[in-house]
Amino acid sequence: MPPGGGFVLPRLDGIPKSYPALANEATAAAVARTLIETGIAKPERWAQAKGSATEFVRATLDDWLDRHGRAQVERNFYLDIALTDRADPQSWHDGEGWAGPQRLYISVDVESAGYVVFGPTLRLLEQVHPRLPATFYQGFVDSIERWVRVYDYRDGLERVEQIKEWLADEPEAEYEMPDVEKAIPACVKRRPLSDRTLCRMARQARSSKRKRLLEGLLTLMENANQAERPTADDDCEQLQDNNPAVPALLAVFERRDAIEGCFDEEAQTMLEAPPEPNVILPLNGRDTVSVASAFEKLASMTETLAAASALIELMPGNERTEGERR
Amino acid sequence: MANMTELREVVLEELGAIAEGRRESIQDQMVGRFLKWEDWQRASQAVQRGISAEERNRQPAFLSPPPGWLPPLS
Repeated sequence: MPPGGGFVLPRLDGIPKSYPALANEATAAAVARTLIETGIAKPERWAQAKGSATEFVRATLDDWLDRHGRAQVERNFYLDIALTDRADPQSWHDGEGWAGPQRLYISVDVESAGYVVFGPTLRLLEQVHPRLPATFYQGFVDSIERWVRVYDYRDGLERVEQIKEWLADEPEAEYEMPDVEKAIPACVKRRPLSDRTLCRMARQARSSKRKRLLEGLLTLMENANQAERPTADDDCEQLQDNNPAVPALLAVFERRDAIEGCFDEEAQTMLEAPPEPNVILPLNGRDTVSVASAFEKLASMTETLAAASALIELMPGNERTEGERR
Repeated sequence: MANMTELREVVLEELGAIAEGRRESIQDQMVGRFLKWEDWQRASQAVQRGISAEERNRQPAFLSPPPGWLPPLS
């Protein structure tokens, strides 16, 4: 057909007109009822929602996050938390095979990675005990990784191995290999101290700066251990084509070190396919026990990240301009 | 306290009605209103006619449609 004049129209058939987190008002209303029955939602919020159950659920989640450390979390982490009817909130379903309000999810996605520099803190702690830097690093990263993905030197080392494999297949290719091994301080490789010794050191620390750092670490570890992150085995099928979750935090030893270089390079392809959410908490929207349990787990996550965020601000070398993010 | 308990029961009842399809949600109501209100429909038609008249009066620039789009309407 020869080109003519006038409008060119995009094809809209099959494209949904909107992408609400919950498929319809009936589902939202069912969950909203349960949220009130568990005491998570406030009935007085209903008037502000102007008759929309979807808006009521969204406002309830917002209020709840405000009460569980959101302001502190958002200073160093960039998350998108939603109550949704899909394990993969980036996807869309046409209702086929959908279980209704009985199978919903709280999903935690990452908008961009937070950033923490460890080097200056580790040097400060090494003055107290040679094994304290490894204790601090491992305690910090393991606590956060109970909930969300951290990109650190181990990912950097993996990246280097990957590059070596590629280069083996293409021996003529020229590539500047990042020296991740050299970027890792020797003190991090030592054996960490026991939790008991860490508690004793926190009590006995003479410098207030070191005391606050160790107490901050203990709070972080305690919050991280409040609940178990559920495995989403049943929902993995929905996520099999997704990329791995986007890291919620980039942990480096020095600004612009080789680990950061690896991350920057890997970040170019992290969103080539939709990434998995960092956390998926399944819940039955009609069951008060199930809803309360999912929100308790979410509390453990937000309180862990709030403690991590507060600790990052105590760590020397992490002073940065407002809004800096990876 | 009695008011709060009463409010809770009222809200639970309203949400229950929406969940069970006994009451229209606000979104359903908006579409329903559009279908019922002739003034609203006439206003939409006036806007649509205004856009069409504007299109007729200007010189169009021809661009090839991107792949997957409908062919141009003459």
